[in-house]
Amino acid sequence: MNASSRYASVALAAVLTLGVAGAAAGDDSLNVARELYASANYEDALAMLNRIRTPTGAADDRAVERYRALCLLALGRSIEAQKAIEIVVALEPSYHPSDSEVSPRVRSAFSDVRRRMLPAIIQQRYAMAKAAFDRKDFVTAADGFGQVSEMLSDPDVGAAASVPPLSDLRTLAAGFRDLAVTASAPPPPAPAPVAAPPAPEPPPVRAEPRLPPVPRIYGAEDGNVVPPGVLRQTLPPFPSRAFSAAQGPSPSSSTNAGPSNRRACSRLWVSRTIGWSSMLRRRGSAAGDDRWCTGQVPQSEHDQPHADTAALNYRGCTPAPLAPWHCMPSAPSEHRQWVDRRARASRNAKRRNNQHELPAIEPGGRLRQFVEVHAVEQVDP
Amino acid sequence: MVSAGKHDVEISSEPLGFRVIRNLQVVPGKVVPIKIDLPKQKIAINAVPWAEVWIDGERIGETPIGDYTVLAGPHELTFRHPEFGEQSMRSR
Repeated sequence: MNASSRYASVALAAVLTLGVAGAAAGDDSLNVARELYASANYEDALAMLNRIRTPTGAADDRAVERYRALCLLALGRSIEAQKAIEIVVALEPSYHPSDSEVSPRVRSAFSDVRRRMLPAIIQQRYAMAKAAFDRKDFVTAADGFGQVSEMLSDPDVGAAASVPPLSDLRTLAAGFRDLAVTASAPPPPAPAPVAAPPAPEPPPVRAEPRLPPVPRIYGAEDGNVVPPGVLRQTLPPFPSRAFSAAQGPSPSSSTNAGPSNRRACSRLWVSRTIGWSSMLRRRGSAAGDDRWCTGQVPQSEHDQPHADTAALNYRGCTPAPLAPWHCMPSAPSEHRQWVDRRARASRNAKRRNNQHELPAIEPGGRLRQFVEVHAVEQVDP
Repeated sequence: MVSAGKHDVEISSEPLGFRVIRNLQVVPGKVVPIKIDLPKQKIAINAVPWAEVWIDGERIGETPIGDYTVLAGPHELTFRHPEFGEQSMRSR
């Protein structure tokens, strides 16, 4: 007590004691400052705290800032006290004085500052934890997200925690914390190493022969590739009698057949089908006499499929060149296939071999996918 | 009662270190008032754990209290805590 300044101090501890101001003058330690504070010698305690404070965030520094705030509150220096509390909250957001430690007045002062600062601090801590998570520092991230979740549950945050953006952060922090905890968990212990037999000598490395590049084969899925088509074809000579009479009536007998038979074999379609085969359909005179003759087409000239005008390999649907039906390997004359008259042009009985009339082939290699040829339209009178 | 005329009045308090001398002109049949400004002092009070503080029966607040002005002299201080009860002391 300094009698000359008429300044009295009274401190009540477990038992009532009087101030011991000046008892530890010159001792710049936190403990002395605590004693000065406890003995209600706030001015001296504050002066000592100001001397020893170093804003590094260490545990002692946090205690220094707490006592500074308490001293300033005691001295009624409200603005300075508020700033000191802000420092305390910034260094230690989770700190709030306990009910038994300080009076309601001091708790209220701390709560006012925390209520104002905590939302921003929570967002800042979340950003820091998220940054740690992004750089795969999962231990730090898990700790940071845990702090965020704890601060969101702080009563001083109050209703702000239930509205965006803090309500969103609560969900995000919980989720990221789980992820960080999972990611930071130590991996399962590796099985005990087993003495492995000595590794065999590695085979000598042989130089792989360099194979020529395999050209790509294009298909229908390549939209920018035009399928190949027939540009030009030379037909072989058309035989006079393509089919024998063994499988049907002879040309002469056909003339002797009934009217229904004599109206037979009126149409001949030559159509192309999928692949390199052509299909020839002959419609007979009798019911159920329809049959299909399919075979490989003879070699002919094709234009090559092309993309950007380059010649390419192509797989799939390719227009088949036209061929006389009698040349089909699967339909040789030995198989006794027959027609009931000579091949000739429609309404031209005098037309003979090599005068078979075929429709003109579409130029430019872009044959239609399906070509139907009315080779002969013949109705016997 | 004093006689009329000039008087020197000394008012002092040894415990407080207070001493003042006033010159009085006493008029017969009259009362002469003397105004003395008693000394004041600031009082700092703390309690562990915290407590509400009454001085001479008047509530002055909750600890820590560091800048409360009272008249110099002894006072009756009362500390009250909701759990630890009440305790009184007389300040010097």
